[in-house]
Amino acid sequence: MKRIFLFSFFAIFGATWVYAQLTATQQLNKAEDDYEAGILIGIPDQINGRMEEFSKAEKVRAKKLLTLVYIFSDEEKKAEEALVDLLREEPEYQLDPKVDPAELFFLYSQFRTAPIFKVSFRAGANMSNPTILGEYGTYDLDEGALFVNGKTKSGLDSKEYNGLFESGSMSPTGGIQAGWWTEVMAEKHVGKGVELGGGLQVRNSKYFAEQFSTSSQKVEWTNKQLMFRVPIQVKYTYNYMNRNKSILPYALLGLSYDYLMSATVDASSDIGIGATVTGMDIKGIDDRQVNVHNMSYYVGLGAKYRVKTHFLNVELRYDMSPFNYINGDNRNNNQTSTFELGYVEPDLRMNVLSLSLGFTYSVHNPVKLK
Amino acid sequence: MKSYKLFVLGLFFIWSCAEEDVNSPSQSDVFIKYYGANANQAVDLATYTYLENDVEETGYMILAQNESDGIQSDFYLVRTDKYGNEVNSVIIDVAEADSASATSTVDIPKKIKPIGNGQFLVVGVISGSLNYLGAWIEIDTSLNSTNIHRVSDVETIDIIKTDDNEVIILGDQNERIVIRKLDFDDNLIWSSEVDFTGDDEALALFENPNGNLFIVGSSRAYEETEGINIFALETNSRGTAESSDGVPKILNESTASNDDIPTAVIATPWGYSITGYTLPNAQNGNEPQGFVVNVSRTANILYTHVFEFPSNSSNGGFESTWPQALTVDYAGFLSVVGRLPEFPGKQDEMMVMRIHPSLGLQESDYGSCRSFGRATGDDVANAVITHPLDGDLVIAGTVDFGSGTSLISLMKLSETGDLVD
Repeated sequence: MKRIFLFSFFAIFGATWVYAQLTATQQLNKAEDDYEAGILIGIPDQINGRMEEFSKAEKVRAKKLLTLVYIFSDEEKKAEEALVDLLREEPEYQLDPKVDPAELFFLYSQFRTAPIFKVSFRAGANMSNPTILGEYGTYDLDEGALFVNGKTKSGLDSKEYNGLFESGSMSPTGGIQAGWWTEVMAEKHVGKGVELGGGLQVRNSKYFAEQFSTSSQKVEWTNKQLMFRVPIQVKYTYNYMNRNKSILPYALLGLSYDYLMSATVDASSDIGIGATVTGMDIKGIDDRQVNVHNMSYYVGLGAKYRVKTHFLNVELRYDMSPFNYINGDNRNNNQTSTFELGYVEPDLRMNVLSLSLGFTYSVHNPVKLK
Repeated sequence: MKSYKLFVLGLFFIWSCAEEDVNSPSQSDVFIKYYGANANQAVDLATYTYLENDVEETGYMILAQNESDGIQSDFYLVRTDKYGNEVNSVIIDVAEADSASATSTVDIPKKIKPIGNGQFLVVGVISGSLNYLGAWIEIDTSLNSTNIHRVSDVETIDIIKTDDNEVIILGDQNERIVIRKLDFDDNLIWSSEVDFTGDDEALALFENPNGNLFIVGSSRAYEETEGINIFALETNSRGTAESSDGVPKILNESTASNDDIPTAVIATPWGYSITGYTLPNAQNGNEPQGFVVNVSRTANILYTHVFEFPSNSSNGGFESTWPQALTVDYAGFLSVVGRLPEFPGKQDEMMVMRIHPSLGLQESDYGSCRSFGRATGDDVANAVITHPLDGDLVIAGTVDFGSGTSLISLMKLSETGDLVD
């Protein structure tokens, strides 16, 4: 009797020990084998208790297996919960038509698997390209010249200008005026690859003006802007729904409210004894020289590179403001500008070309569609 | 659907927030322009009309003094369009033909007077010449056609064209005032003199509606007082004073030692307004103190006002004021321009003051006193006119950019004297 008791004890203990010695991976493999063999009972117990031990990929397999088991066990509620678990583990999980049963496809189709929205973070460099709307100035508009970023109102550079006019040799040094910008934007897909987006942006930009009253009287003027912007946009992504494409080109159109946080000027004049100012505030003063509230519209082209459900992207954008950046009412009213330097701002609108690198984070919330 | 609504809401928000600059003034509404190189000094200002797209527009003629080498100076005329852009300019060496002293003559322009049909008369003084003391010039708006009339014995200060197509010049000769009528071929019609007891200097000449002449100037030691005093005098049409009643001593009788120096006179609805400064003024730290005197066409004093514009300095007192010109503005006030000597924290500034023609500078007007200019240069507003169409103030001034560069400036201010529209 005593021997029988000892044998039974070791047999049960041994079996339990052997069972317990299966690794989580083996356990999952065994459960999948059982599913293939049609032995559904016991599978949830086999894998639910070891879920924390699975790797990321194994968790996906396990949760998909649970979904299938519950489907074929006619436990609809549990199947739905298991599928939500699966989609939380791996958003945008793709079923395989060659392997996965139609029942799973049917259940899957009842759930939202796409991201509810995306959050993009971008940062990059920009280059101003102001358009002179109206030439104003202390100089003779017919004989002198104003170059903004190296171009006159009619778009002539110094070589072209000096070829057309006999006003002496004007040699502006303007050109590329670089700045930086950063943006965070929420985007929501509204169908057929079209996303609506809205965000917040900080943009630092500047332009450089050179006024030649004569070839020997020059004023240099650098206007720097720091803008807080609220862009909204429509973006179309080619092949948006194709999750197998890793590179997705897109185009966008947008509109932005632009709030001028600060505007400062560095300038110098070589008229007479000359004058230099640095960091002159032209926004905070009573007779502000610039418009604080403005708007712009923009177009852009870019490409997204898929990283699982998220994206790295590169984007080229061109912002155009239809309105005057300069406050024309007060253009003459800054005595430091008009008298010390002998300079008056022209009417101009701010256009900015920008290049950015960004990361788009997809936010999912898988739920059963009503 | 919710995202569409948010998007449309965002569109409306952005559109409503933009500051569309629809009120940006036209380039001809308000501006400041600079002209010239080296050392220049604005002197007088006039308007002319021209057609632009079949519309009659008002341009400006600036008379200035140009010093090319710091020794010799010439007349300098700048013609601008309504935007203040220089159309053309000319430097006239009035004493050019005076070979005995051509390299050292100082041509000092005094007045420019439109005489119709795009023609102007310019008058001024020649200093340093052995042969000439003054000159007057016929010139048209193109500045190309000039006819210089040099005067050997009179420092010519002012000139008018009479209805019989002749000119009357006003000038100084041996401390006396000379009034002389000439034709355009320099033939003398008549000549007259006014001689007070001291050194008399002419300033301005007008023709009253009745054909009598009205002259303003200054005289040292008039009526046994010391200092310089202003005189205003109505003469008959041949420049002869018929009554001593018409010769008022005008200003500061109680402080007779002051020099009361008139700088500009304009014709007004009530007669004439004279501005200038009194110097030295012990009450004002011996700084110049501006004044306006209104007189009738018969040279009777209507109103005298000495500027008592409170100083910004901690010492209190009155701001030093140095009027150079005046005009009747759109509302019938007198706008007086000139310089604010040693304006606090700066060198001389251009001054623009608005003064009631019969009440003077009221406390409520202090806010309308303007100063413009560079902190490190001595700037002065030399001439002012009220724009004949829009009532804005147009001022010709001199802005000192240092290193021997003083440029002519032309400012078109608002009606109230601001650099905004």
